[in-house]
Amino acid sequence: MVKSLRFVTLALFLLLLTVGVVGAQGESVLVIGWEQEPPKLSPWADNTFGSLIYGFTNRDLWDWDVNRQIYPIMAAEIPSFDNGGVVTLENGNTQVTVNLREGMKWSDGEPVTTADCLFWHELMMDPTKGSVQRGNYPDVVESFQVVDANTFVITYNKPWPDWSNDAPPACYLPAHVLQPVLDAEGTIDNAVFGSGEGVVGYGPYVFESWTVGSQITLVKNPLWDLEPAKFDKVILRFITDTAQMLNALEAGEVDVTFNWSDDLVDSYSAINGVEVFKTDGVYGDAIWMNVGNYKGTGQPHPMLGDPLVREAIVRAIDRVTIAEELVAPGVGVPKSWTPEQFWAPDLPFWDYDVEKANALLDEAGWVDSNGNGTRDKDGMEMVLRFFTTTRQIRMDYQVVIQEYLNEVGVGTQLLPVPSNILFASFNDRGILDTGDFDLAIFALSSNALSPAFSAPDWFGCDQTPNAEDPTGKNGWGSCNPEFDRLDLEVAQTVDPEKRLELAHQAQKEFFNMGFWHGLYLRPTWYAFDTTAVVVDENVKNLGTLAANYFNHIEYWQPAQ
Amino acid sequence: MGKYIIQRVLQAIPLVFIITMLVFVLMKIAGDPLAYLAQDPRVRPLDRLVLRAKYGLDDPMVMQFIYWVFGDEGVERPVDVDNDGETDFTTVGVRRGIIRGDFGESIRFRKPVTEVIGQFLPNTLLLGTTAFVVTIILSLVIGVFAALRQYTLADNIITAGTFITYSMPVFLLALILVQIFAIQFRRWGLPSLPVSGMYDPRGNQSIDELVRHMILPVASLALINIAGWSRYIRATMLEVINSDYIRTARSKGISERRVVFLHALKNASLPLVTLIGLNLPFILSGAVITETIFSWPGMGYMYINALDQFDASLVVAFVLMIAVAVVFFQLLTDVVYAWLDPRIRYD
Repeated sequence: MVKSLRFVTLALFLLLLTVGVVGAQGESVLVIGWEQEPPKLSPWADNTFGSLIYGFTNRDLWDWDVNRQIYPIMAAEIPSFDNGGVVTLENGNTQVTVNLREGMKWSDGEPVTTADCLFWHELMMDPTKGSVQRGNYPDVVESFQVVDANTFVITYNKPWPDWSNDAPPACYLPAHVLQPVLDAEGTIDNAVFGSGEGVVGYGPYVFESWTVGSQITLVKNPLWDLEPAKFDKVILRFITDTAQMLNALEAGEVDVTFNWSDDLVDSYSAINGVEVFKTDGVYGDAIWMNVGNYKGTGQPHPMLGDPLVREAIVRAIDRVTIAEELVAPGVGVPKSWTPEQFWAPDLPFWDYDVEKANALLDEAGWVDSNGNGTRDKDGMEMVLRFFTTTRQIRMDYQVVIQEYLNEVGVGTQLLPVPSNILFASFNDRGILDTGDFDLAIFALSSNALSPAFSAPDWFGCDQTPNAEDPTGKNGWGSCNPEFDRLDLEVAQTVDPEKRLELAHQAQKEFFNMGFWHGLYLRPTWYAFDTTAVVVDENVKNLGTLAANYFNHIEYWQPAQ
Repeated sequence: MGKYIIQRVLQAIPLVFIITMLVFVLMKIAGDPLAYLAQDPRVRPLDRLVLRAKYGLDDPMVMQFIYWVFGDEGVERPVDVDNDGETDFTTVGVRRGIIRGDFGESIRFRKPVTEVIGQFLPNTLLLGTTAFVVTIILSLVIGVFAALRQYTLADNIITAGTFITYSMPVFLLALILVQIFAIQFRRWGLPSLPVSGMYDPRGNQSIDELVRHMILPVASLALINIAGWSRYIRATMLEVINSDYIRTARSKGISERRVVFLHALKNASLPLVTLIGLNLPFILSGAVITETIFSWPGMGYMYINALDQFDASLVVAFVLMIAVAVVFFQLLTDVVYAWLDPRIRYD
């Protein structure tokens, strides 16, 4: 028996030692840790990691660099008033003429033409043809006219200064592949294209294979006619466990990880040969207050309905210090929901001021009359139900804010819940949609390229969900008709100077509603193995929008 | 025996039905599977309405369950896009129900559930079966070895080792193995083991790559079971080798090897059948924690992702599959038991 055991032990040890690393040599391969396997390769149906993959295989008509400068990709040039590509019609509506760059080919050799752009337009206009991220497109686009194989004209039904970034035209999907599917099935939702078969794109890489549960492999697209890709192959490796993603980078199994949470900065930075950097995010975590939809009644909140209480609560929290300590040094606190470059120079901000917070609460009539440490009024204790998702940084924020609020006699009940409960629809008794909360921390994305709030569903007076109309998103019951009017005007004002002036007024009206208070703009973190990738400015030039982490992947190059 | 089997199958039907119904209801009340679309301004409320109609999410709970079991072919669901009281378009149900083999469509994978399970099940069977075989062999070896050397230094070391291993949660054991054999070995310049997936992403999908990638997850799965099972075998083995018939065999001059492996081990292994029978269904379910930690593309990995994303169709189909497997293998265990031990009768 002893001999047998010795034999088994020796055999296991030898197996461990002798099985070496087997890798294909001679080609440059970039392995990116991918935290979530996409359900389908469908930019029309998924808003997360499926869309991101299109950064490798597909390109838009135009894009923006980190300095928010627009540059053409599929378009021959950026339409503008100066070159006649953008005109204001007699009725005031905006019309854009786009010329495609000549010679572009899909990865199967077929030419890219305006037929592809028309296909996308028709898909966007008809909800029965597929589950598409339509945004405003069907609401603001009036017509789409193909002039020839390289030119089309899109006409909006109103003045539309954001035509390039909000409801823009696109030529994203190959009509010659998907039109037959649409004709046969009436929808492209079930096209095998989305499952990784027969995928055709126009980008620096082309789809090669998808091993379900393991990885997606992309190879250089020989028909890509812009900046050539430097890596021969890019592999998106699915690793869903946070700790193992870190281990995989340290073990050399992946070269790049991204989109990990802020609390892992130190762990990633400690790995030898790994460089960490961040890009400013467009998702702004904020405190949202239920001001006008108390327990879903549509009535003012008994505590937060009072502007004095709202200001007191915000002044009791040192948001600048929390962002520095919990997120990262240098991470700022957003003053408004729209991007910083559009902020009014005199935009108000409630600084940390405990004395003022106490004074405001006293003035509002909330005092600790029974000496239990929590303020009360008319027999009601000031205890707020404070929700967030189970994302670690948000739960950390909750705990710290609870301490700050305790200091001024405001109690909180911390309630971290899964995001599908917090964001569930009204009919599924979603916490936000039904107004069943007092405070909440979460992020909603703004348009990084526009001064318009562009979210009437979330902020409009008539958008509080109820049993008759459950589709609105304004579960916190904010309402300021002047803001609604200004925001609508900002969205439709073409003159840039006038537009910015209106935007500044809208921001102040938004501030006056007092239900949204920025905490930090969630940065996107990246970690690179510097022995595998040259980390220069081209790599870090990741653009400004939410889903373009790899829109400059063609500039990434091997370290050796 | 035939009557007994029929009785057990009939008893199992309501049991499986109740389990399935409970899981279905729990998943349905747990949250909105389309909530992930709520934060994206590019997804209009209209598109959520269309998807909700397509998946029948606004149907009453009872009807959702009935449709899931019997299908919703031809059931029309009107969608009022602009909330003006008029139907703008209608979705028509196409599901045939689980009684006709249609387990519905996974909301997140947007594929038939059976297709999704078919993609992950083979990988789980490979990992689970390997771990299972390793567990049985090493448990027997260690259990018998410890029993034959009761209270010796070797036995005491094995006892201590098994208690430590058995008391360790699997995720901790897995992370310790990763730290030692993947991270530290690499730092020390030794050949290290991979931490994720079934193959090296840069390499070929060869057998030796597969073996290397299986070592840590198999070890994580097997070690804790080996610790428990080997104690069990040690105890039953001790009971058998101290019995009269073994003393008789030894007194007749039969060799020790023959006594141990032919007479003692055969009878000592009988209770192992119960252990194996109880654990076999869980080969199908995959090891949720181990597969997640090692990014092993199996049923556990699929299940945890489905649960995380509230993919009710996938979760309920998965639970139904495991419930059926548990019932089947328990029945099989009873039958095998009767076959191995003629004293057992079920009539």
